[in-house]
Amino acid sequence: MQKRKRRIPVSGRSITLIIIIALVFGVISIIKGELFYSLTNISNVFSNLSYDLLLACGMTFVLILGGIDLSVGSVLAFVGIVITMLLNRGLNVALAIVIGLAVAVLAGAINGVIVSKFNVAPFVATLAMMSSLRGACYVLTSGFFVVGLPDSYVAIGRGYTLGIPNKIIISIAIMIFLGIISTRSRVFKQMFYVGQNADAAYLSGISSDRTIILGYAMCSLLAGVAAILMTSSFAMGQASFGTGFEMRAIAAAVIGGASMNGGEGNFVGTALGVILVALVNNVFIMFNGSPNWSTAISGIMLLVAVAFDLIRTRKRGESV
Amino acid sequence: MKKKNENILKVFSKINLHYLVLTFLIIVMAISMSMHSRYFLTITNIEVMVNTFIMEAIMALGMTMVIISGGTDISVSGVLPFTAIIFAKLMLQNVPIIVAMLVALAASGVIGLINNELRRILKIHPMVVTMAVQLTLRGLNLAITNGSVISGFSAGFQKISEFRLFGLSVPILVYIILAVVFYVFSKNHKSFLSVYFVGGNKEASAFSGMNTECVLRWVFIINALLAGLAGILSTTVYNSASYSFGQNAEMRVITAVAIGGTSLTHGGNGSIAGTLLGTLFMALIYNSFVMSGISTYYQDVFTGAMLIIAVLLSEGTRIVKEKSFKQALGDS
Amino acid sequence: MSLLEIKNISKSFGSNKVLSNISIFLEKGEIHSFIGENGAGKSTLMKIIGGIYQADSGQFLINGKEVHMQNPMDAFREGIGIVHQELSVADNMTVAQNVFVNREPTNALGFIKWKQLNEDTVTEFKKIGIDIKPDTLVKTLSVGMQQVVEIVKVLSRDVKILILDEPTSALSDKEISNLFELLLKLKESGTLVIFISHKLKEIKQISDRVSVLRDGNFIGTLEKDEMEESTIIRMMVGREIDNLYPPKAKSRDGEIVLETRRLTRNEKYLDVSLKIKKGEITGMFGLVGSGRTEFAYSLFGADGVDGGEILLNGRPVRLKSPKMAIRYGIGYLSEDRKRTGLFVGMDVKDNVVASSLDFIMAKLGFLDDKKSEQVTEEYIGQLEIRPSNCSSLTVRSLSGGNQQKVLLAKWLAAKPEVLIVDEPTRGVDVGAKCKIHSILRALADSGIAIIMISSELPEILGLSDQVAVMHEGRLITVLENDGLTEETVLAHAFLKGGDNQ
Repeated sequence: MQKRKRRIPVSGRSITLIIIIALVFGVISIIKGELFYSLTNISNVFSNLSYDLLLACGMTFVLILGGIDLSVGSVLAFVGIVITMLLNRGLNVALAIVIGLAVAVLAGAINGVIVSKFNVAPFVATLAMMSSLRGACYVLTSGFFVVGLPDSYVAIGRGYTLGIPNKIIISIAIMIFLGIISTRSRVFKQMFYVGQNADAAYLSGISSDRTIILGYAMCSLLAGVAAILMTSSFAMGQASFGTGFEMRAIAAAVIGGASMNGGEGNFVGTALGVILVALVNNVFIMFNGSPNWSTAISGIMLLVAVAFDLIRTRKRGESV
Repeated sequence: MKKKNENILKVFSKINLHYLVLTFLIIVMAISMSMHSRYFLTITNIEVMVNTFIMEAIMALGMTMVIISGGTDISVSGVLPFTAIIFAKLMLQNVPIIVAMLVALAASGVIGLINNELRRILKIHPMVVTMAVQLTLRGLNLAITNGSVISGFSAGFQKISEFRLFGLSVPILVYIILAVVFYVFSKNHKSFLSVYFVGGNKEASAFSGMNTECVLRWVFIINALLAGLAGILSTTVYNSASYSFGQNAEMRVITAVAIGGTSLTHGGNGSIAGTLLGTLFMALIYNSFVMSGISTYYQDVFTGAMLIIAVLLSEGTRIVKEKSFKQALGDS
Repeated sequence: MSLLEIKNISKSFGSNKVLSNISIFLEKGEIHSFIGENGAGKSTLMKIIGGIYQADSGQFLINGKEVHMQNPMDAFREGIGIVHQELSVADNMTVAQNVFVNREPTNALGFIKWKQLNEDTVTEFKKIGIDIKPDTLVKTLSVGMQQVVEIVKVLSRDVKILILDEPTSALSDKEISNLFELLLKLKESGTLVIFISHKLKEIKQISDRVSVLRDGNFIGTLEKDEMEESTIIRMMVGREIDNLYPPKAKSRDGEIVLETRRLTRNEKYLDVSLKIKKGEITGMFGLVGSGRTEFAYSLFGADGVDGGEILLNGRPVRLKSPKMAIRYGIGYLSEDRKRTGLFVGMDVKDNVVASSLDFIMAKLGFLDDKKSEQVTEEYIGQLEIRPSNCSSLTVRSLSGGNQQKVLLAKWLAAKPEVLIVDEPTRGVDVGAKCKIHSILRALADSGIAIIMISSELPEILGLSDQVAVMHEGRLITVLENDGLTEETVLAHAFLKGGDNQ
């Protein structure tokens, strides 16, 4: 059975997604008109999208490795709180950012170590990290918002460059960067090997452990970047930030072509997945109005995405 | 309820190192807690300890079987309030309590069936399926109740929460019965034992003529039923039904099962006895939280840490066991 | 009338025609073997007889009556039982539970009668002359014993037709002879035993008749007195194969590139001292459990060392990981290619470069796609991997022999100084086997030292320049392959085991 591999990570899946997005866009524009395709609404959709984009890209790494990271939402909140608390106490913006990102990397590295060296299932390890960090958020803030952030910091998330929100520029730039290095980077390629067969990878001379730790660290790092964007955009740190974000990230990545079994994934697809999930959420809110359903929608979309993923894998079939 | 500790050091495969350590830890904890506070061994405190964890204890029984079968069921924390809400709404419509109970339970059983069918038809890992179902249910619970608490049941209903037999409340009585049944059945009944086979090697079991799909279906249905039962019991205890019942319960339940030695990663391993120990362990820990007044957020952190330790413990003893196995026969 | 008549059976998987119009008659009370290259269709045919797959067309007749088997239970009902190559025991349950899975004696309420279950199990095992404690956990048993449990599980269902798919690959010689005794007993009681194997010697030893399949076609059946190795091979491959093995090393005075001194790994192997020379093939022979693979793991850095030393080109080294070993020029071709060697879901090209990412392929940390392609094509040609345009095909879709070649290509691409190959031709058809042997010899001739772990004596004798015999973790002896016979090697493996020579 032939499987074409192109140098650019654009798969048939991505093309399908582009078509679906275009369709949804077109249909809803007709039905809801101005309300939908106005610059304000679209800008809104894409603004909120920047966090999801970063988280989903990070999740792509982990999915390729054959794992999963349920802690991304909590990492986002925790790093956000760390940074905002430091800023609140007057620390230099650049330093606070560096510390925040270091914390993010540390969290991810811990996840990676637990998964690779202690052989704990990724689901369990990251679930534990998620509840630990989320709890820590509440402990640190006692439920209060963290405010009093310097303008220079807030400008990151709220500012515009050349008329486009900074958030969008930063997240898309990062995504493009990841997309480019992913085709050529040896380290990234190693993630595919490890995700496919960690034992064989080890015996082929690939440091499975290191690759896994790197993948999880990258994932949390991106969550840390998202934390910066979110806290600067809202001008506060809140313990409840990012709740439920991990589901959207997983759904988006899987819709984009990553497989929950590992060994597959690409950033273009993930980005398209993020757009689709955001669109669907936006549409639903427009028709229904109740944000309570958002989590339910994520759940259903995830199911649908994974179902399609499996139908596709089954079509390829196993040989004798 | 506790497993007897045999002291045979030669034949390692018979000793359960895990249970030994766990029992030891429980005893140590109990002793240190009673030294810390003279209130520990009082009836009131024991009641509190039991009541804090009784719903999770009930759900842990079903969850053990799900995990042995090789899966997980995250949806229980959504099924619990869902069933409670349906039960409550029916009672408010003046449906007789027994009927309302049965209908609500049936609804929870249906969710369990849905969990399994989605898993089977879409061929997705149960963890993912049940997570999606949980989210959907949580959304539904919130939407149906509009965020408010349901209350105002009949006086007769209130009697249930006051009922005591030998000083034990209804949930405790239910748990004792269920624990005994699950323990006996899981060791001796063909149906429960088949879960071990399916969890160990599903394909081979199917080749031996076992209806593996049927086994899995019932595992999920029963687990959901137990969660539904916990929801109904919660309503009797709190005299109300709320979408917030059982929040994060799935974490605590899975942790209790994992601490008890059931492997989350290798199906076909585990036992009810272990879960009973794990439940006791968790109950003690949560009681210590209550006694020291630590906030619920700390508790979540702790649960997370406990889960990791539990899994490490379980994986660790597996490795130790595998290293010191002797063959049943003498040849090489 | 024949016990089992296979009539015009055909089966395709997608566009891949695996069996074409197979018609054979099988009688009761015979041991009938099937042999053929990988992909010839033998396993598929057995799985169809056993109810796991369904044929596209054709019929099966048992004692003249047509039967339909939709699943393994149907097959059992007709008296057919398969013991698969891959073990299907539940290793976390006891022997008794496994043997009687889904058929346990229960009371009216469904509770298991343990005493009776255990007694019945002991009885079944006694029937084949084995004593066993029925409440033993299967995971504590050796692979060989686990297979016996599997066999007893099938036998206890009173089968008329017993199918064994490659049963001896993981058994010790003693276990194999026990098995053969059992099969003879079964034959005498009228059971039809169908035996699939790659091992010509075994087939000649045990079978009454052998049927040869090639590329999904039935070539012919040979009676016992017609079973010449060359005839069988010719039928399997369609051509004469003389010179089964390439000539040995021309000169034997290469430098010692790898040496171990009293190498020890607790509970795995003890005091192994071995000298490996450049340009030579050192065969390592031993029964299952002799510690050869564990020794190889230590040489490859995949496992630690508790005592002794490893010297590479005269200098002691501590190999902490396969990555390090590869950097030092040591490669290891895994025993189990599917589980620990290949990435079956990835394409051939990705597999071939997997161990060379670091130093051959990378430029500035980026991968050179063209170079990967080039290297892959080179090895496809050199190793004759089929189909020849497979660079972008997933490894899963290749046959066993070709998969093994891809695995070998991976290690060739890593350009090792010392290459350890563990069971290099297991599950590989004769044509590919030949090719792999000649590649190994060519490698040795070009100066590479090869350590070949194998349980096939003919392969060991045919290819090695020196033979190291291991038994239960100890190196018994190292013999020069100068007119060495199988008997001598076996004698060392068996009789001298225990005395420290």
